Amino acid sequence: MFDLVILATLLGLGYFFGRYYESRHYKSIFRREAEYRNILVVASRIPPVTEKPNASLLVMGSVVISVDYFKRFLASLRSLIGGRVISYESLLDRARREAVLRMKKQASTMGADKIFNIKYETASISKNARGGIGSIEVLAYGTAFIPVKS
Amino acid sequence: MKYRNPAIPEGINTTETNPLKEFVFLTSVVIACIIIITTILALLIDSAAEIIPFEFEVAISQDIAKTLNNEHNKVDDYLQGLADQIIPHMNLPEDMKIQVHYVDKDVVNAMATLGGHVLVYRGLLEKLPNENALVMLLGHEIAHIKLRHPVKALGKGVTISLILSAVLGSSSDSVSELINDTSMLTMLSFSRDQEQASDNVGIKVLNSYYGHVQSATDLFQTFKSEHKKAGVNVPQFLSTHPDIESRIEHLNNMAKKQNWIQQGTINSIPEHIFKRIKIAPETVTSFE
Repeated sequence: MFDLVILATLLGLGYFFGRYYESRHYKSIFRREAEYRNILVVASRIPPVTEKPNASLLVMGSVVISVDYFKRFLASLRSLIGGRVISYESLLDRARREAVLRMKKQASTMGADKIFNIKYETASISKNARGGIGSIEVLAYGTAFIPVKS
Repeated sequence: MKYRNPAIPEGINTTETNPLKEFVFLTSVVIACIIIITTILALLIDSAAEIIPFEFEVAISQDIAKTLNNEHNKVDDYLQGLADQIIPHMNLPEDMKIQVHYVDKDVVNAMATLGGHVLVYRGLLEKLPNENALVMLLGHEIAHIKLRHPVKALGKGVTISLILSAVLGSSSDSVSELINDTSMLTMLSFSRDQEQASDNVGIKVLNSYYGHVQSATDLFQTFKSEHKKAGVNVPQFLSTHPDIESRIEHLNNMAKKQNWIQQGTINSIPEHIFKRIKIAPETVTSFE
């Protein structure tokens, strides 16, 4: 009985705090995505041939987000019966977009106007820690081009 | 080539659903599956346990028998004598030997275990108002043995925990906790059914031994006042035993339905037994 109360409390905490942080994070993502829209992000490896000289620079953005108890509980249940792990989709979406935004911010402070050859890396932290709450890291990196005034 | 970074519509990489809906769906599917699997397994094991010979039960209960006191004092002899008198009313199989043991401990309880051993604790014996209640108690406990409840419970416990640990491994996250609890609560309903079945046999024995069912529910009144004193109030679904009120009501209904005589003589437990119980409580030495 006591176990059930603890479980319900943890699930409640996970649900309410998880929802709160998620909606707050998405608001911030939408705002900053609009703010940095002027910096182009392109996956192509080959930059366009241009007459203007450019300085190039490695830029990266990385973020670590923890999964909450509620999301993890849903995912564990999913692992029993299969199907899409919807509860983790938004977590990874937020992490990828946040990583790109941080990369753009870095590029912007360096005066760059576009980033080429962007790549992502995803790592799960505390993968082997049993019972530990998992968290994910997403790293986005690319080559920023800074227009050089001649 | 022209490069652009327009705003991309939302909801492509994520799914807009209410997580609570997902939660309710997933938990109910998993809980329903566990209940069904546990129930099927428990029913299979219950019917399989009836084939296990009683000798085998006696053989595996050797260790239990060793831990019980074998020095029979007057109380043991009295309880055993009473049991021997009611056993002819119970149609036990020939090879089923019942041994009643008196345990000098404060526990307000009695139990039946593997190999035909019945344990009656001092805590309960000293609170029983009369011999009729004691006959009801012994009838109930011997019924557990007759109906092979200890071996069934053992079989279910071992099999289900084996399967659960094979499926869940040694992980101790909240989901395995949920599965364990669900399975355990399902098993409790089997335990309550066993208690009910033993109550039915108990009152039947009481009726055929005395010719009436006077004081059939005294045993439960004792438990009730004990629970009240201790302030415990466990909801039925979390308990190994049915709710006391419903047990009393069930027995009263059964007596009415069977047209058993409800009034009769109340036999008291012999005074020398009571003296013996109260003179020799476990001496607790304290060094305060």
